[in-house]
Amino acid sequence: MRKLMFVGLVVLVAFSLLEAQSTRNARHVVPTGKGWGVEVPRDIAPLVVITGNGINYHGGPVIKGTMKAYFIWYGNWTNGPHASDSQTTVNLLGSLFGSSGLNGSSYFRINTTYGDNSGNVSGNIVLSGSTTDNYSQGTGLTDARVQSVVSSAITSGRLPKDTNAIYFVLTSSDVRETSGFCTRYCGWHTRGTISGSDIKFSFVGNPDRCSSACEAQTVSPNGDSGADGMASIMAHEAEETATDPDLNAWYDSGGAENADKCAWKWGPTTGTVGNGAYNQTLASRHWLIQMNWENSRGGGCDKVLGGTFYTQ
Amino acid sequence: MKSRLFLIVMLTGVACSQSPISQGPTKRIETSTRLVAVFSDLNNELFQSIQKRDVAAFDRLVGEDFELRASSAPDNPKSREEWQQLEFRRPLHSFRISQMAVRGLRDDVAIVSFVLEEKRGTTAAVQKSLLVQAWLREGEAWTCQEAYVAPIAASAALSRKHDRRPSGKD
Repeated sequence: MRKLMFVGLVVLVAFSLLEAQSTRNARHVVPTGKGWGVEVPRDIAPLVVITGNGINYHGGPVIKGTMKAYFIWYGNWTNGPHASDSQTTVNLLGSLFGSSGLNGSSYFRINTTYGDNSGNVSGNIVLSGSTTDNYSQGTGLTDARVQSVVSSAITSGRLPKDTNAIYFVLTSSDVRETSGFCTRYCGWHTRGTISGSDIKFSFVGNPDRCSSACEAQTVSPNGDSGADGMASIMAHEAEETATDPDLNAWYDSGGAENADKCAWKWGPTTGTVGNGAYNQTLASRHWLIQMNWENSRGGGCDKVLGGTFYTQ
Repeated sequence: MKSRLFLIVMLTGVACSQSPISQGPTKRIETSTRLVAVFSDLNNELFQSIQKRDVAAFDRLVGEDFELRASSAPDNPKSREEWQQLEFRRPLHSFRISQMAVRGLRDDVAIVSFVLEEKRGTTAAVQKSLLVQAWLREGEAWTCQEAYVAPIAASAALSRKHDRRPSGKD
């Protein structure tokens, strides 16, 4: 009898594991209104998910509740080759991701128009920790080395392990990312398994390394072209991580996620782009931050939730 | 005892093999550079001008001294006029630009490379090529001064979903 119970228990645990780990092919039940449910593949968007706004749901989870942000300042952020490799940048980006910055702003709440079958993105994001890394992987990073930087910060206990978070690896201007930083991209986000958990992380380099490629303006609202350039890229990665953390939730038929659809588009600005223009005021500072794709009213790029849609 | 262990190992193995998290490396989603955005737009305009046989748009985007060199005939570069005639003669049904990289050498000089997929004429086959272009900016206008083209073998698995960019025809 005990043997039978033991075998039953093992089978039950194994099936629970299967269910919990299977996201893409999972099936779930929707009510019929007749007292019983019908099983539908999860790939079919459930009723709570709003579609038809130029971006599609693919069944994966979004990040709900307050998303945490963790910064890993990689390289020399004290006195690097560019003036922006400095504590000023550290402070500016700390304020942008502080509680009165992007967090709960009408800009970041554009992401609340995205959800999965258990709820929507909250529109909240708060910097919850930061650490430094003194070139542990050298000055030429591969994607794998970026993941190693994140892994090291977590396994060494310098940052907590948090699956509801985005870990930013922020590199000083003397650091290369060899898979195409400055020629193909200014930043990227992805996910990986670190210490057995699904960790979301992002690379963003100091754009002063290639200002024509990764900065909209060298004269910038906070007098720090590196920080001001990073602000828009980091906002981009954060909103994509919130709405497509495992790369299987929200993107359009061309593979573009929400922020991709509005990259390098600002909407109306105060001042001229190229000469200190800004379009957002957050944490009592001015910023030039790209618009984001709102998943409502037919879809479009806007600066604030429910605001006017702009094409440029 | 042995059979219990066997059962545990087997079921745990099955559970782990089903886990999406235990799969291989995940792709990254890139934030394209500003220059990639600019030259994606310009190349979309260029190939749309070929599709529409729009001479004015073609001339606006391609410099007077333009030269095209192809790996199939490196000793026979084509001038702007020759390339335009050749391109306008063959109907371009659809095209797609992907995997673009741009090196801004100076504020007014950029080297652009990308994969071009095109459907021509009556054949349904997609031709894939690697294009490398040199662009020069005068004032606010960029013009293509030089291009190099080489076919990509059909077996080369270069196209990746997350690299897709709007082509205007997708």
